[in-house]
Amino acid sequence: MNKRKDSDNKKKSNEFFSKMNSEERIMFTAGGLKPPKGRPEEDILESILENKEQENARRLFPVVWPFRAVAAVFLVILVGYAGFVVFSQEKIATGYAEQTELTLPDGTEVVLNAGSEIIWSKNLFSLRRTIRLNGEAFLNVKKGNKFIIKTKNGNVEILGTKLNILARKDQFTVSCMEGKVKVSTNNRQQIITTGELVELTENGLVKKQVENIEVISLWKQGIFHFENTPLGAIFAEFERQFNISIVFKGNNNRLATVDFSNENLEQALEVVCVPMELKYEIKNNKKVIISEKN
Amino acid sequence: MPGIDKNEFIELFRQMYGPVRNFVYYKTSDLDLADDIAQDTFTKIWEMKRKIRIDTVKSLLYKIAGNLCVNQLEKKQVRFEFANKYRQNGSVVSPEFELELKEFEERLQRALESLKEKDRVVFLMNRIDRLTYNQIANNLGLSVKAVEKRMKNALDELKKLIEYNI
Repeated sequence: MNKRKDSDNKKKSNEFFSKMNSEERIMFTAGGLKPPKGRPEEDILESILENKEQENARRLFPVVWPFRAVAAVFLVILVGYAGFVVFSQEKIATGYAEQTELTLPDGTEVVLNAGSEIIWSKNLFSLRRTIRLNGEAFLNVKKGNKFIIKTKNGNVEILGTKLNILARKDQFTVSCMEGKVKVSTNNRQQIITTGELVELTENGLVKKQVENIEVISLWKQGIFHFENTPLGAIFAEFERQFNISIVFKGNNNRLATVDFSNENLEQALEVVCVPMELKYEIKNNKKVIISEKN
Repeated sequence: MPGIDKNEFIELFRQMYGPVRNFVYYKTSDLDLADDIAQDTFTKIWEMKRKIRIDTVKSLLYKIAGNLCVNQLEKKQVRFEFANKYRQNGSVVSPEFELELKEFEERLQRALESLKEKDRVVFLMNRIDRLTYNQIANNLGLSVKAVEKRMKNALDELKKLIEYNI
């Protein structure tokens, strides 16, 4: 008897659903949903009531009005002075045709490429290892707390050891030679490990595997490696390495793959210009004019 | 005279914790976040219990929870995993129908994910938490007209998505 009723019911609900139009189906089905179970409510209630039973602390010293102004002035001076001491910054910058090596207070070694600068806080650095970079640098980070490098295009958080960072204008590339690095821009982040690099492109941060990643930091030895890089960026590196100015009458966006050394300007120009079918003209050692061969 | 006492708070918690948590879930589809934000919201209410008026506390709850959601910068893909209210207490329908229902439910969830957040939240508050348009309007600080509009938008959009089986 009961069984029969049950199967009747089944039949009924079956028909009843198939008779519904899609609006009714949506309303009916949505009404049967419920969010998945979370943490037990009673535990949460208990922890709220336990933690927050403290009373407002009463003011210990009632302060008389005229003294407040005096106290405020002193406070402003004190804070200003403390800010000056705490936030005073150290800055190292390289000019064109110049590279420099330095060691940060924590023992981290930095090689700074030409036309680059790093800034860090004299007094706060030992508390939080943070530097600001504009340009290109190779870092051999001492093991320890998080090491953060801030650049215009994004931040790099180092979880391991050796890396190369290029942060110029709209270029932003981080290559990891050893260990693990976290790179973040406004809304994305990527973690790379040994032999990988991330590059900021129109599509956000793009991760790549590089077979021979050491070549990227060969600039420390005066050797520059570019792979499928726009000519504009390559000639900008020329300007920094040889301290010259280049006038390029051609397409800055053509891609080239080259290696050049910063020892001899003419040789370096040959390396780039011959395969790309460009001609160059050196004027008084300071200015180079490059144009397409016709 | 503002202020709520412990018993009033406990009553409020029992009544509203679920709906507030669900509200965050409808917005973000992140269950852990929903629990965290709901807990933080009630913690804040408890901290300012002396300044609170019992007649406006509900809209305050939603306001705080909504603001805490905004602070969650990283927006993830919305992905719902709703359960079914009825199914666990033994099946009352035939297996074929159950399958059909399940499939429809699945399509509905995917469709909900691509709704505009504000439409979805109102729609689910009404459907799942069984709040009236009036209550929703009060809680979210909207007019009843606006709630009706969002319900209609949600339904129209869902219909479109499901009929074209997107």
